[in-house]
Amino acid sequence: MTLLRRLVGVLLVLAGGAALALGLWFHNFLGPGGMARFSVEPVGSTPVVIEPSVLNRTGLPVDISVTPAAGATASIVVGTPSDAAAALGDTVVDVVGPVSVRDRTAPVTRRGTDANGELASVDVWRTTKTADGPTEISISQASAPETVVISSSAGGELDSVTLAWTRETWARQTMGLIVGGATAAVAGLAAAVWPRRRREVTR
Amino acid sequence: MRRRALAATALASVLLAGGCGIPEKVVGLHPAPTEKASAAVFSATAARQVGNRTLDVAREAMTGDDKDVDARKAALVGPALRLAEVKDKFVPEGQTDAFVVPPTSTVLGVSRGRDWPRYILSTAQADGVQSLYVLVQPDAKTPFKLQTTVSMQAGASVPALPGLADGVESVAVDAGAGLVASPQKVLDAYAAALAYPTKSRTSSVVNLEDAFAKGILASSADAADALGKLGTFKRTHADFADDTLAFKLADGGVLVFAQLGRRDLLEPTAKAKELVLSSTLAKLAGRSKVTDHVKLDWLETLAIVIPASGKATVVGAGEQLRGIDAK
Repeated sequence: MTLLRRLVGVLLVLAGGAALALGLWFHNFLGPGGMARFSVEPVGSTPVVIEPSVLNRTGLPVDISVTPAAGATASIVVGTPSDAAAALGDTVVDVVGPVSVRDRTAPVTRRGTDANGELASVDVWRTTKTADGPTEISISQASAPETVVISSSAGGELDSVTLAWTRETWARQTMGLIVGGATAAVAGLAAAVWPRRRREVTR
Repeated sequence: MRRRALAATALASVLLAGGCGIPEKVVGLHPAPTEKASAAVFSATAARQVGNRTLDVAREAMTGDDKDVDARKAALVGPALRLAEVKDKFVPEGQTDAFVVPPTSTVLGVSRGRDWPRYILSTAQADGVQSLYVLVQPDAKTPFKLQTTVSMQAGASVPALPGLADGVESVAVDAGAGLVASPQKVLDAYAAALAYPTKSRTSSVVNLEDAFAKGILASSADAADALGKLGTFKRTHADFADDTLAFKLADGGVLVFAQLGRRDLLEPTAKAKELVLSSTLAKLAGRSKVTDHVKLDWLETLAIVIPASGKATVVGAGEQLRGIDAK
């Protein structure tokens, strides 16, 4: 029985330690508010396209933060996917792919062949926003599916683009991982190394 | 036993908290929804934004001077552009209502589906006159432009269009299924009835009791009477077929927008040898007498309702002189 107890204890220490480490990592990533923030990489002078496959995969709003390079103006437009595709045509764009939780990034893939293509016509976009400094736009899921296109003014570049999803439940789940993991690890440690008390028989 | 139970509970909690259903369940991942191809191309809010912005630009273009050709072509197309291109001298002073685009408008409907061209139908009131506007976007890379502006006739009304979220369906101008006649046939019938001389001043497909038709018929009779045996008067119509648009109403009827070119031709008879022009015409023509002819070219912009049953009715109409040729 002692061997089994110690084996269970070791397993608990391993599982609890893993959960604790995972919880601490996610707590560091999500923070107390439960915000998952991913940096779109790389960004530059090529328009960045965020499609429904990234934008509309959850029921949560997506907060997009854009910072143009010094002296440049950033333009953010939102439209339906088919309208965006028609407006973009074969323009060279960087399409944001699935996020990488480990790297906290949203890698892009280059698409299109027309390097001189322009984002013509404002009339296919539901929303248009321009800014010469850091700016944000929140995309709700009410009008999903949608595509967001972020571009810089001619000759300018984008400094950074980040996507953020916020859910307080994630912060609580992270705390659950930390507390549960720590509890399991301590319990496992106790089971593995604590000496078993001998029963005293009284006559 | 108690310690073992505690250990099992702790393990289970770790598994439940961190190991089950990550990431889909925790993140709430689901497939992205697909677009509705049968809905309106815009939300009501977006349609209002685009509509107001388009009309703002159109307002400037409609009232700009004759030399502002590029600005006009960037904001206007078809009938509205033709109207805006009318030389200032043909617009009587103070009679500029045909070119007024009020600052606030109400969106009546937007196109259904995802294809181009796309339309926004809106209305606005200025100086007590209600006008209808058709905005068109030919393709994704071209902004919306004002295609038609037409004042509604006194007392006229347009039956309801489908809801803004549902979108309005375009109808082919030669499609007459379920109607008294196709939009093109109604237009042809109206033009034929308003011609002078005409074979018949009645029509089985369009009502000729509207104020505009009455006015045209009366002016034809007046012109012919005034000339008497000194000259002949002819009035003919030709539509700009490519610019005729038709939209399905909620009750199954159709709302048609069209522009006709009208030509009034006055020729002196051999007996008269020459005609003396009125001072207004003489000023526009640049001469006071003609020996061969006076040719007046007009634009007539129309909005016609073809109901699900019964004759069509012209609900909006306007005319504008755009050219004169006198010899």
